[in-house]
Amino acid sequence: MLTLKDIHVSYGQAPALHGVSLEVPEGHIVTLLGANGSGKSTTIHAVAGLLPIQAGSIDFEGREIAGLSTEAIVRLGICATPEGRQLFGEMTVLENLRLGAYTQGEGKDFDEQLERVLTYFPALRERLELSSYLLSGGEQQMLVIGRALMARPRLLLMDEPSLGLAPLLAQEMFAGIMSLSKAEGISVLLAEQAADLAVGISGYGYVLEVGKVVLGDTARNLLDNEEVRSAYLGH
Amino acid sequence: MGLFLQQLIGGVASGSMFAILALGIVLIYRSTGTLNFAQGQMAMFSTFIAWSAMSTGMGFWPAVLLTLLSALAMGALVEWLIVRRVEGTSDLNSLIVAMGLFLIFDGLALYVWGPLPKSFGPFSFFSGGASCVGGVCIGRLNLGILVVSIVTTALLYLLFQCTRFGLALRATALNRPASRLVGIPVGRMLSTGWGLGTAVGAIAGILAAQSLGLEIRTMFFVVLFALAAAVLGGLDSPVGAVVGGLIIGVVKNLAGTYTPSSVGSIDLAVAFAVIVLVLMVRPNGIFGRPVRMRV
Repeated sequence: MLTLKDIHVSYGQAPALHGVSLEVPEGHIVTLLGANGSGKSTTIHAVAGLLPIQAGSIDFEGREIAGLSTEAIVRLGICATPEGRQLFGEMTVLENLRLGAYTQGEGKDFDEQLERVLTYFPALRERLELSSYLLSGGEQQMLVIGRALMARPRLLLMDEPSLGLAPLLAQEMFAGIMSLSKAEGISVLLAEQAADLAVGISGYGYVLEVGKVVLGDTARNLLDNEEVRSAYLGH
Repeated sequence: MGLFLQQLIGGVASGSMFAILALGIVLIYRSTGTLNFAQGQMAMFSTFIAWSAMSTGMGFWPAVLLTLLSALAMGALVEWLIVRRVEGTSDLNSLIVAMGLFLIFDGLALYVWGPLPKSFGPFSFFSGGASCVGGVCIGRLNLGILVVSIVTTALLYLLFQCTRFGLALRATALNRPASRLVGIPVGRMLSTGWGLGTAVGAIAGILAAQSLGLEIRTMFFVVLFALAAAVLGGLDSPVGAVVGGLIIGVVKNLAGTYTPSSVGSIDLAVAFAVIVLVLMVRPNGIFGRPVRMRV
């Protein structure tokens, strides 16, 4: 579904990615592992069209999307949930969800999709008219994911969704991501520090080190790999 | 009491004109963070377009419509051609761009229309007998200005609060990265913000010319009060622009009425003293968003 081939990205003079290649198969969850600064977020940003790409190609369902604007990429069915949540804080929860559906227009479909999203995140239902900065951390994360779902994506890019969440909440959220991906047939590319939880729900994983993929394998093999376990999975 | 009410109404009317121009300043500030000092000269320029259209025999309302459309295009073009190049570099750069715009529109208007004042109204909508209720009267000019200001504000409110497009405009002003991520064409929204701000300015220009006449300097004082109104209300708040404009109009009028005429233009001094006092208590303006620090 999504194939990155030899992606190069740099911030000014400093190269951030040098030759990242990876694949997200349809309907699967794929996790990016790696230390801080290894290029996980950069990879996500590059796919979302938030960063210019110096070289390489990004193929989404047979289309080259490298160089497209974020707007065009969202319209093709790729949505990102950024690190740090990036909500419209002064706006209500409902307005945030309406903005999520910006590329979809608003009509009967909107109400339908809103219902669907609210069944995944029932806590948001009672807070629809609340300013979103008043939500708890967990609720804000739900809202960011819910907002992305309003655009009916087929591929979800998630950057550190567990950041700032209590361990129990994080666990709950990963379970939610898994059931959501299964039920809606959405593929997910996940960059995550809480790697053991993330790999636990994934089919595949890639390990990044200073802007390069050093290992790519099934989640099962990664969990069995001694080196990976000690370096990234914390046991 | 009669005099007080009379002056109050006069203040509200002239204040509503400041409010409209301040609204334009706020729309532009929210779009690209530019404090547009050129707002007055751009409004003056637009009003000259209306004058030119009417001097070819066009009626008043068609000329207004043409002016609003050309102001919309002009503002969007300015954002796209000029403002976008320096955006995000530094506040000083955007200040210099605003000053450059001031000179461009000032010089262009002088070149095209010359230095002599033009007769521009008051048109039939703004002229006629006064309307009185219980001994308090409002002149037709002030009534016209008030009606146009209320309609303009109401339409903008509907646009921003009740349409999907307005929602996207607000979103872009609040958080650009997030707007990109939900697929809003951010660049187009910024141009639209400038276009709307310029069109609203054109309305203020046409209103001002009804009482002040039309020449290069028509908007000099009006824009000072509008800038003050925008700062008083909070530069990022449309509601603040309206409230700020009304406060300044009323204070200025009342101060002018109740101080001896020998002191001269003390109304200006009083109006600005009020602004300074308010800003000492609320540095971001009455409705301004305090800059929230995120840790």
